[in-house]
Amino acid sequence: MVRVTLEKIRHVYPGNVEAVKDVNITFDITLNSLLGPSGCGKTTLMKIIAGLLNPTEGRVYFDNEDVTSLSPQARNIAMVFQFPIVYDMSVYDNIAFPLMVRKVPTQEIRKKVLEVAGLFGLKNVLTMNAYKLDLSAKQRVAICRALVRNPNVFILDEPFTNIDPESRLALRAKLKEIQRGFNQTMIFVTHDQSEALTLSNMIAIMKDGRILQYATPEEIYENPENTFVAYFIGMPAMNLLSCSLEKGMLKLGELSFDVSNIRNILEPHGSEFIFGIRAEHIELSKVPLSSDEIPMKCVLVENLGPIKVLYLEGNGISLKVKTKVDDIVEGNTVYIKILKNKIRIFKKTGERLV
Amino acid sequence: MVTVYVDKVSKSFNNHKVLDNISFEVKDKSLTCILGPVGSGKTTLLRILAGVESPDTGSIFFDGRDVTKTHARERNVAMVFQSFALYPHMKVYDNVASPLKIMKMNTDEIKKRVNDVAEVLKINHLLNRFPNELSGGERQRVAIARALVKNADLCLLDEPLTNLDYKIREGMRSELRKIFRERGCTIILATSDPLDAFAIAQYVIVMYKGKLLQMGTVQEVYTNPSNALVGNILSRPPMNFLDASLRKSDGNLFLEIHDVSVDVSHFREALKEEEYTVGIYPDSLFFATELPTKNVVKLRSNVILTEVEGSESIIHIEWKDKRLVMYYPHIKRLNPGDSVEVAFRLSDMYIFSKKNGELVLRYK
Repeated sequence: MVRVTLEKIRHVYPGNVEAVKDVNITFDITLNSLLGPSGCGKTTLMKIIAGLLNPTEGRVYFDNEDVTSLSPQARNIAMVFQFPIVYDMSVYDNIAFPLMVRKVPTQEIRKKVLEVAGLFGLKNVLTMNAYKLDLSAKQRVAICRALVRNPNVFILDEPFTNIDPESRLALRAKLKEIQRGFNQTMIFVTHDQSEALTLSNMIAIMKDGRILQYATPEEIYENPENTFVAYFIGMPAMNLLSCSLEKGMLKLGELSFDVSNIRNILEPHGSEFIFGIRAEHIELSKVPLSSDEIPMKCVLVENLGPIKVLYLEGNGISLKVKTKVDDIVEGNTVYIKILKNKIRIFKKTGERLV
Repeated sequence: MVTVYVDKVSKSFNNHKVLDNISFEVKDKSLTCILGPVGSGKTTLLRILAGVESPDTGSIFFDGRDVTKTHARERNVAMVFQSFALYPHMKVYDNVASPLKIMKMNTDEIKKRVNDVAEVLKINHLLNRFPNELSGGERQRVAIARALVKNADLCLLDEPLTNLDYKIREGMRSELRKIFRERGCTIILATSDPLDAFAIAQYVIVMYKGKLLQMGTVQEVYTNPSNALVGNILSRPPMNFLDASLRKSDGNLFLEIHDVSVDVSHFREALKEEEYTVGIYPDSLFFATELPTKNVVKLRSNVILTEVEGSESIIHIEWKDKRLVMYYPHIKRLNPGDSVEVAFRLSDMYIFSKKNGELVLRYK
């Protein structure tokens, strides 16, 4: 296990396509996620860490050692890809393969293979040919093969994308469960926020070739560094509304909030800001419970099973609110209260201020 | 704008029954979701409705008219396939206009129709671009526009959101519902994600391995699953199941779930078998302190894992060697091994037959 440091990494593909722009980050020895929309440069960055791609500029370090010019083999990295790779041999041999190549004693191989196969529910199929397994089981074999060999870094590139939703949830839980026992540097590449949020201890959010934030899932959720992170994380996205500062009051449509206590932070940045509040940080009632509650009209109810997302309009603004209350229908008037301590204020250009 | 009636449709490929005696009715202007895991026959059913595949037995009626033998082109049906193909050499405008050009509509009318539908789907600014210059979500909207431009009576969509990034999917769900409502055509949409069914559809048809398990409004089917499989397919995370058996004692009847006894004497009539499976939705599990003490079942359990997803938590617990999953709508971080008392209301307990999975009763 090593800490992986990327220093001033930039990568330009032929045709002058700049996939990675000035990335500086150190991945901790834990389960990291690299999360971003399709085409943001995630896979390029992973290839650079694995040594499959030489960066146009910048250095890669494993702990303090500069590995930029080392081959993938010399870096001792295990990778699991979107499409599971298994060989035409038994499940046991598939998992044991990297150890056999390294001439590990048979007894030890056996012990290790049984251990990881047990974790992933493959004990009963060890003698089966891996080709005969379904996708989910094949991917489990690929993960086991990566786990047995104690790599420096374990990279998983969208490993659950092609697996049916039910097995995906089970596998995700399994991976998180075993990760604690292994204490490995894992980098899990995904475009799925729920995978990143549930699985990882640290998340790096990437967009347009840059890392926007590297923090714990809670921190990213609670305190997004900028409006893209606020939008990208959370379902629904954080409500983001244009607002303006007038004499210590934040004007939001026809509403105003007293922000005189943070006036000195806001004022140097002009008068236009973006107001952010998460859909679950708005309290909702069907009748006004106090005078400071704001009446809004419900225009759409989105049913998400146990939870509903209400689309509200009124007072010159639109908001989404998450609730368990299930008897509100379209056309109803509801009363909301925005939780003050959950309000986030961003610069017009997107960076978070408060 | 058509009522669709499917009557006893079966279809096999290479002796493998893909659709097994399927019957249902879809109301005029309604939005119905066919929900089922991979291999349940959803795509074949859509293809039969579109007329690009014909059933081995059974019939299809549009507004009471038998169209089983009617050619796809004469059915006035539009279909969006999962791997929607746009013509790469054509601009978005021409892609959307293509079905109208085939119909030999005049240029002015085409222009009007394309602009109208482009407005609804918010792709007017993209009409002069080529497909490879669009994002996945934009391409999907173009494919849907091309289907809607025909003003077809029936619009069929096969997993329209599956290939999209989740963030686009999230936006498309509410958008699709709005669009469909405005268009007023009959819509049937196939998906394997229950969230799509909840978020978009009015009615759901649950399918599994070629069989239709249940149909009704989404909420109805979720609340009254006719079968353990239905509960499982509609629930994310999947439904929890516990083995249970019946015990008679002093003229009373008890359902034994491990060492938990539930008095079910008042259901004497319905409980004819010895063995049952009890189903509990993950969102019916609570921490015991949050529920009243009466009419609940408490399970002293150990935490295996917590997965916090933004503002919600999925908590995996172990109770008597049985793994259960709890959906908790707030942030809750528990450590593996922590002891917790989890509870569910008796009224949230579904009793399924162990033999065939059919719902025997919901505890009242």
